Amino acid sequence: MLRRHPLLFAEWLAARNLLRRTMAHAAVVVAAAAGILAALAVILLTFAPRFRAVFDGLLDYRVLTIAAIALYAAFNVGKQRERAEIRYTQFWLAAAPVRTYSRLLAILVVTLLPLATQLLAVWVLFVAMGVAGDVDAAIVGKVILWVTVATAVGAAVGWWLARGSRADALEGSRYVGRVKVRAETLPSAAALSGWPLAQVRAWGRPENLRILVLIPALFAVQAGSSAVHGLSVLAIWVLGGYLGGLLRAVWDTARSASDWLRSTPIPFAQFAWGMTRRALLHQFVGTAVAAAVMISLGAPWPSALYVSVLWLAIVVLSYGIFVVDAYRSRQPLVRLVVSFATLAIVEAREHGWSIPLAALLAAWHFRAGAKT
Amino acid sequence: MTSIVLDIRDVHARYGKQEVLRGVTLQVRTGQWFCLLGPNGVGKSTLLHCVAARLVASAGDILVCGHSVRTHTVDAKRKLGYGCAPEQLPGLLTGRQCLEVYASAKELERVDPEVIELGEALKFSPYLDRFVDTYSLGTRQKLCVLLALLGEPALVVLDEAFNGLDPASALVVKRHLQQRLAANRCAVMLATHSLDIVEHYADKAALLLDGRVVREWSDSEIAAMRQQGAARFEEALAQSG
Repeated sequence: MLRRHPLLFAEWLAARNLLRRTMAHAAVVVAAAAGILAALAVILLTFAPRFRAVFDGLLDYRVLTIAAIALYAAFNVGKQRERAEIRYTQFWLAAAPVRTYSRLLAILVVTLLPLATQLLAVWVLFVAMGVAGDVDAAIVGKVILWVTVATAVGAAVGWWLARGSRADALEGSRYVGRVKVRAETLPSAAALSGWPLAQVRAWGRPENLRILVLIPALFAVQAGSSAVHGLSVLAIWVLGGYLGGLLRAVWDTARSASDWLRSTPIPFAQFAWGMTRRALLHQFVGTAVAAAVMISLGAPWPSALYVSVLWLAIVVLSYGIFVVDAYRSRQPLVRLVVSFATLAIVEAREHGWSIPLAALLAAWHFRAGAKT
Repeated sequence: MTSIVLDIRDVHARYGKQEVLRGVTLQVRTGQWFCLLGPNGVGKSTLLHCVAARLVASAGDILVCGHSVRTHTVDAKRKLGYGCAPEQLPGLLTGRQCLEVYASAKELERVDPEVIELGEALKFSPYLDRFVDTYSLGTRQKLCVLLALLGEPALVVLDEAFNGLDPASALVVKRHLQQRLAANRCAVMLATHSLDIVEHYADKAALLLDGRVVREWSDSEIAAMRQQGAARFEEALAQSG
């Protein structure tokens, strides 16, 4: 049947070959999967007593939960559809006589597959949480049902919103701002530190963010009455998106930079500092602003301070792992999972202890990188 | 007597279980333009990656100016100018930023004025303050060459560096490299399919087949073929392959 749909057939062959190639390193894959599963099991068992409250909370705030999930699904599907449309205009089979319905089918599958995978993962996670926390099966089933319905509705809306969108919109320049024309060219790693920021701005183009703007609007309604509240929530949302994007951007750009600069004698310290300097500064300033906004919204200042410092600890630890692994051409997943599982366990036992531990772990990772 | 800049000793390299290089031994001296020839997929780029320490050889050793790429990687890299593939350039940096970062990575105190002048000769200057992802293939290629020449490298390693360059720019680059070679400032290692370059510019060439060097041509052999006529080298290559 697949052979009648060339685009899907090509995607299937590529996926199968990737799987086979991965299975050539079966031992590593099994070890990594076992490690991740073990870490998840530890987290599940550690936090098991709190799972009933999590499910109750999700049901109590049902409308908000459903709306947030539906918006996420709509955003995800809209973005994936747009990407798929553009991808198939530039695909190596673009000039082949593929029927319209076959092309649409390929776009549908490629668009929905990531969300369906995420939904499946959420089902498994909720069932595991239900079993670990001894939560009533009816409650777990109800939450799963709501999540599924919200996802389906959101996906349908996202698909509809992105209809006939941008098949002709080829990716042009990822222009990210005006460049100051200069007369001198001086040796400097300063541009490295601007690279993650440029990457976040490139990701944050309006067409990528338009659906997300709906979410703060929704929260603003939930948060209360005044326009100041709404604006504050909007500010937190935008800041959170920026800081979260910046977290991911350091990994992406550090990996590209490492690949590009591998034939040069660049020292680890220069590489690490270059990649993270401005990103860290933005994280510190952004987190301080977010804390101030949270306090202005009525959050107790110890809580705002705690959340801020915890976020910064996560950032420093993540950046540490990212730059070391990028410099040494390794994948960071296992180190990230093990490090954050350790932090979660420590935090569950002793409130606040995860912060110095994150700093220690980051220093340890940096030390390992500096040895190369 | 010129010194040996690149000494490749019985190098083996593999991607997973597939052995790509099976005992390559080569030497390149200062002032030599060395061309690495061979059909697609025989390991030319892999050998260049090993020389540039982008890939660790599974056996054997590579010395750049006497520094082992395996054990004294940083010292070897200080002597090396590697022209990366155009698609590896960072799209979100400008050409000027790329030069600055590369110069900084090579611990230079200043960007060589000679490289800036070469950029002007290549008509690259108007692109200096534009993002790399707006460049055409040829413009990216120019930037790759400029980066490779930063910091007075003793060994310039180029992989198909003339692909995409317009004839005038290619000639500028060739003449610039010849000047450096004539002054014994460096050696050039170029992987190429262009027999024209081998016939007109190379001092030494080698043919790589199935991960092994199956034929080497010395300076005198290449000069003899140059005198014998246009298709002579092509015939010699066909006989070797």
